[in-house]
Amino acid sequence: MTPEEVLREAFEAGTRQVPVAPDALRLIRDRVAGRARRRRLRVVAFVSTGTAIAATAAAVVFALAGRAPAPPSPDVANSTSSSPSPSPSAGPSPSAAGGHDLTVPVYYVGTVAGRPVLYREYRTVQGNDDVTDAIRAGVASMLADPPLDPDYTSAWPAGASVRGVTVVDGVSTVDLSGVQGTVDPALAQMAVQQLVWTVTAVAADRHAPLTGARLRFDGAARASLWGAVDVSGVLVRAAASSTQAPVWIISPQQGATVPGTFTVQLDGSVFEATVRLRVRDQTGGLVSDQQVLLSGGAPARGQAAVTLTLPPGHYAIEAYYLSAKDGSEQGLDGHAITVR
Amino acid sequence: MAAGSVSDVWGGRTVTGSPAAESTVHMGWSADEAVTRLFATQYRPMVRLAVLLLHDPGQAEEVVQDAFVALHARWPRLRDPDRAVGYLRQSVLNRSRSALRHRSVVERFLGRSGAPAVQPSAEAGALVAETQAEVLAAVRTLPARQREALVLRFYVDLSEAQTAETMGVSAGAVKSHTSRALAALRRLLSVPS
Repeated sequence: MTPEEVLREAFEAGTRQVPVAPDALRLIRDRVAGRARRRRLRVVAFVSTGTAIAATAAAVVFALAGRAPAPPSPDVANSTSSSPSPSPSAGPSPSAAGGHDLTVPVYYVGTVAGRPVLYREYRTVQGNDDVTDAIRAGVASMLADPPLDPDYTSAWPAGASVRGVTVVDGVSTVDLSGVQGTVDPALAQMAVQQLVWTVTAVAADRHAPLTGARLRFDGAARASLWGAVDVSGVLVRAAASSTQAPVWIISPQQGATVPGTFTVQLDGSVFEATVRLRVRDQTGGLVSDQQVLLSGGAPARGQAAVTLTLPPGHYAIEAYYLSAKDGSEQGLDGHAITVR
Repeated sequence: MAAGSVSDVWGGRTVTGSPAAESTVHMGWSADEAVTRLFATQYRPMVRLAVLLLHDPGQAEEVVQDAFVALHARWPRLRDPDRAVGYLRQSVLNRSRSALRHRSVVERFLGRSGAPAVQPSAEAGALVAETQAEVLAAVRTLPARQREALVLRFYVDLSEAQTAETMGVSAGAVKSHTSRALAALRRLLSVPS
């Protein structure tokens, strides 16, 4: 695509969901007739509905908005600022000097149908608002903090840490230390993608989109990592369809405590945009199992927000989809939560 | 713009209809009628235009409503839907500029940067939406005139001459704003091969 085409698409996408006041014509007529003065309009449509469409609209519009309204959309807030449960292990990242709580997206590796895929969690880390420090904190957390969900893992061998991060011309250079050992070749590629997706996601969340990342090891470039992955140049995100999990629960996150009525945010790329959301109680008994339509189907990713009301207790919420081929259950992502 | 066609700023598509019918019907419109009819075809596209310029849907609607109120007063001198659309667009652009100036003053006064305190998650959407959000975020970082040129050229689909007229600058300035903006976007967004 030419830059002009990219722009046209982005402009179109960015305005597709713009709502207008239902009574706008009446407002204009009243003002023309001198019956009314200008009324301050504050669009709340984005933050009130909690539907899949609103979630998508919020994502687009919030990206557009010069400043985010306060309070932010619950749809977005759940996945960013107010991530439900700070990790018990998400203490200050190794090299954080000062700084404050930051919520950053961190990718981990899970397995679907025997194939490694990326899942994302939002982690609370210590850092500064500066994008390079946020990247440092995000990568440090990825390397050092176990994922909240025990079904996920980091593909990076223990002992690796971040020496430094820079961002120049839309490319972040991440200098790692202590990267040793070997990684299964099948997982090595995903390890690099785990880092690239984390780095670019942290930056994108801070409105500093990156085109990719470079890796340094104790300050030096390497041609390949673990003898399996070329890491010599600028590393970019591989296609979401081949790297990201088909379905995941954005929130509540694993281990979260939520009020009796809460919203489950789902994200996925599945056939006909249809996922299922199941709730089990502490004993494994089925509480509910419903079909949910995401805002978009494969190959695109779609989102949905489902409001659940549950009595206090411990539950497992599980998102999955049914195979188009044989109706079997696929791609399950489950989180244990507590309803207070 | 061809006489008798009402340009629809939404994607630059032209609302086709019989040119003869268009040009005969509107001549007798009262100002009230003009506002009502133009509202039907132009309100939403103008709000979308203002959203791209202002990045604030609520403020975008205010600006567009102001423009329609002004159009009502202006109609006796316009008396032509095409000219009225041009007037609305110019009005939206000028009012958006004022709103942005006001916003930057307020933000300076409050001692904060334009960056939102709570960052939206560009991660929330599909990959394609994410990329588009990145493009829009990059557009936001451009100087105002460059952003205006891009939006008018590639969203509203105006020619260089029409863009120049709307922005109140020369066609040469539009050309240079556009090429600088595209160069900056290429730097910001290009994926190295």
